[in-house]
Amino acid sequence: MKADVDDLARFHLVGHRVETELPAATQLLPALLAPYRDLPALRYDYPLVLSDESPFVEPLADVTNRALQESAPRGRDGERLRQNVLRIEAEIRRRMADGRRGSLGELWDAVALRPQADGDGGDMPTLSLLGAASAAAGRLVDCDRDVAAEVVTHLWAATERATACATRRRIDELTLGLAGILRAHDARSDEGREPQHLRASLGGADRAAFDFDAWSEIMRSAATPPTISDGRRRRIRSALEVLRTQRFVPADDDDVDRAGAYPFLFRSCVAAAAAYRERMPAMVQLVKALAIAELELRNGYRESESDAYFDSFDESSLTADDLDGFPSYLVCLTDADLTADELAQVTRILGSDAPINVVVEVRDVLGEPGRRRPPNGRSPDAIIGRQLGRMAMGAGTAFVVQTATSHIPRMIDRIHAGVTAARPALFSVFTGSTDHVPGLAPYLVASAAVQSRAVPTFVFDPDAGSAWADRFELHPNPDVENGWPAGTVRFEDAEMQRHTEPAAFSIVDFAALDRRYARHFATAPPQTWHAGMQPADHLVDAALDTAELGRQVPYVMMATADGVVHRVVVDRELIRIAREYGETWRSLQELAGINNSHAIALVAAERTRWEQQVADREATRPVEAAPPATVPVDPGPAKAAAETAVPDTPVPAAPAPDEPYIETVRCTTCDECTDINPRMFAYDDNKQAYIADLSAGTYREMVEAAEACQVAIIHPGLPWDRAEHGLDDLIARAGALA
Amino acid sequence: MTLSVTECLLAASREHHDLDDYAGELSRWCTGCGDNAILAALQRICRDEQLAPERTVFVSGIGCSSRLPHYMKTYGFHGLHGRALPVAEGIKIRRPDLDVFVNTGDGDCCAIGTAHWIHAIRYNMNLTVVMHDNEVYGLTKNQTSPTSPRHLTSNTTPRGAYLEALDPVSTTLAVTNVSFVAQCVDWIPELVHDVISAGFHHKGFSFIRILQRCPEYLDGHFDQWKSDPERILLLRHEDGVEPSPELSRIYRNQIVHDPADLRRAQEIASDRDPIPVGVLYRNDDVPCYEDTRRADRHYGPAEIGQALEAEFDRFAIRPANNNHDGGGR
Repeated sequence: MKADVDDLARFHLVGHRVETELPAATQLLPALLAPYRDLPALRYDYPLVLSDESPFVEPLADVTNRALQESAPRGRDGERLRQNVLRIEAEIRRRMADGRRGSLGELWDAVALRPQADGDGGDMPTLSLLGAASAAAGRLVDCDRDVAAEVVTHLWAATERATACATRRRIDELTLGLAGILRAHDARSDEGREPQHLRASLGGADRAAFDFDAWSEIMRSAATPPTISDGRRRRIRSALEVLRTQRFVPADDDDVDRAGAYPFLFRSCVAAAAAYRERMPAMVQLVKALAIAELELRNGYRESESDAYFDSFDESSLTADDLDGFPSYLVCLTDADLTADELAQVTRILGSDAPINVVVEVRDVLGEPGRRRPPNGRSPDAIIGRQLGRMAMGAGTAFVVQTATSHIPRMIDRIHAGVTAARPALFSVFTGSTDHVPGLAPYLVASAAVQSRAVPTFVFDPDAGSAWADRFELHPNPDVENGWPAGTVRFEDAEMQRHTEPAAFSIVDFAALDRRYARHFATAPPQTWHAGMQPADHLVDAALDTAELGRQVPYVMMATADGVVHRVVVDRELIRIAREYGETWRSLQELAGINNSHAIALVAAERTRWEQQVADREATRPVEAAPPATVPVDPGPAKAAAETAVPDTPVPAAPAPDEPYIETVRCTTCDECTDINPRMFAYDDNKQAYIADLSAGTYREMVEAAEACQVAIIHPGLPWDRAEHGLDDLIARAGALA
Repeated sequence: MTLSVTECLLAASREHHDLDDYAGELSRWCTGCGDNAILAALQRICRDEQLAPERTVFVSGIGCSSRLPHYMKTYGFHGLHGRALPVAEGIKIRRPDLDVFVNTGDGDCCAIGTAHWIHAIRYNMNLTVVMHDNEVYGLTKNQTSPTSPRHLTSNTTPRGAYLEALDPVSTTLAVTNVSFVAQCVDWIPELVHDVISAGFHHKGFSFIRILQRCPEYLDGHFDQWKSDPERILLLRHEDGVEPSPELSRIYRNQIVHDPADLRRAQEIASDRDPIPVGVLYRNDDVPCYEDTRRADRHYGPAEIGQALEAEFDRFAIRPANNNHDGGGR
């Protein structure tokens, strides 16, 4: 008996597929994903080149693009070179897909220098020929199950190298400075003026020419210079000891093995947190020693205040700035490692201020179908992997990145920001590498997870600002404004007629890849296709009432390996699961300000209020030709211009012409007037002249000062003592200066 | 924003410094000398910025201007003729944490010190260089300097100077890596302060030429500019200096000049009448030599001794082997 329309509805409602009538869909791929099946043949953003120089992680395609831009001639001359380079790049990609690994230089040379077959293009360029020799040492990594840990570890190590180098340098500087203080004071002490000490301070051959006893005697006869107190000496020695024996940064920047220094890379959060606690007293001692050293060298140690402060110095005294130069911790986990203890520790770390970075490789986000979530104990499913990112964001204190390995190249800068941030960080990365999806490259699985909203990518950066709009980025998800990313499937029917059908890539398509979910799908034979069939995403989003059940049958478009398109019917259980993912996505959108329900309600309320106001105005308006109602607009540029206009600055009025005065702000401090009468003329706080005491001098001195003034800013006015001798002449001279 | 423990304690122990805390010996410059205005401006800047006297250095060469470090109560280095800049560079590269000012004159900088000046611009170390330009040798009593105007009669050129004057500002603007150039006249104290202050805040080699009166040997030399505000062209810009309303009331001849525009700065600098004053050029992106050459780590006396020994060992001659009496020891 052939399957009919009712079989589809029945399957959708109860989920039982009669094998002989509705075939399974196990060999099919979602129609939107099918064209990418042969991944190595495509040019995409893997493999990545991990190098020791900024930007540290870069897609191979970017490296070759840059090399070509810099070294390939424009136009047809460069075309051959471009073709060959792209051919090498494709071959490297193919070899990596086959499991080859190594540095970019090794793989490039292996391809470029191999014997060429006829017509293969010949003249394969080497990296040095392309001017990209510096990239050769970079290690190539493909999009496999460990790439997330590798990339984060690589970026973390690069950051740590720079931090350790800076801290090492600071410690060296302070050590030298402190030792210098002791040395200088020792040289001036009584011991320092002993003959044997003086002898040691002089070079070989000249020693015979000196009488060190006499020299010492002369030195001792001089007054003893102030020397360092015992307390200060003890303080400096103790700080020096801490600086010399610290284990947070290696003693030598070139010491890659970090001999004697603490390790900071862990495989368990419990171990990392324990190490952090254990090292806390040493960290407090080091911060204290650094602070004392800096204060000593900057002449800022006041025993009266600083002693008491450092006596009670403990963990609570540390500030974020003090911890900046200390190494951060890195823990690499997979979701399988998240036991109850480990998970509890992750939560505690993310809520703390300890700079511990946790990277979790999530290998399963869908979980086993049909299992309910237990309220306690370890979740058997992929619930943790799916929710870890959002849980971490809830703590509000951690830098959080959620992504999939396919999107790592597009989020390198955000991952880098995360490992650099002076706070805990979580990198929850779906690897796409799972046994549940056979025969598909992990890159495609990871991409499909992001595309279908199974793994929305986002970044939460608490340092970016105080508002959600600053802190949260829902990036770089496709079609971020919409529920499911829209696409188009193009195919031809049996009559060779071309069809174009819009299709969204939803969580249902992603579940179709997972063989654990195969029982939720059934292929609908073409004769059963009917108008009641709806793309699955429509049904996921629709709020159906019971009456509609069974009338509408959801389907997804899927394709076989040879490109034959099928409609695959989905059961009700999967639609229910899909709705959960839809809800999660919508709540993330709200956090990112997309379709925010509060904002929508507010706008609606404002609109109603405004419409009511317009209606009220209309009702009370006297009968006349009313202007059309308009929506209130932003006051815009006019208001802005008014705000930025420079107000007229008041200019102080000049004093009355008969009063003597000095334009003090113009005084050039040349001493002319103060030399004439330092009591009448004086300098203010800015060392500029003013009239300090008129009664302390004569009008003659005032006029002479005005004449001598280099910048003519003394205005003598009229005499204040009419009895002064020779006033007529002075007034005439003063008049010439006015 | 948090403060480190050190910053907190430093802030708690900070002492306020008045202008007098920066005043050293009594100045021995002639009464009426423009150097006094520059000294007052520098003391004001130290006070305004509350620079720690023990972390501030004034370096000079030889000349009237170069007496300035004596009049500051900070660290100072009154160096050799023309060698203020190399000394300052040495201080800066070893102690980049210190604020280093250089006071030099037209003879010190543009005659005997020219090579150092040109290369100091190229090094672009974070120094504030104030060039006191009175266009004459004053300390040695009236000789022609490189910036003296043509036809100036002096003890060395009794028939008048034969050459056109060197323009220090245009010259500086033409050197690789130039990063800050300003010009001022000593008789506008507000501007002297503001321009030097802008130079101090610029990270890099700030070259500030201050035209300065010498009442002893070039009395009246700048009178025509001093007495006529229209012959001063005030360059204003938010990235340079913005004169006060009081100053704008007197000096009305103003233009807005963007200090990022090097070509325009070169055009403006070539004019002597009116004298352009203000910030001519500023580029914050030029790297500083002390940053570029910053060593990865510091070496103490022990490491330095070791390195020297290793170097000396390269010159030691040793027998090829013990059996062979290959002399030369």
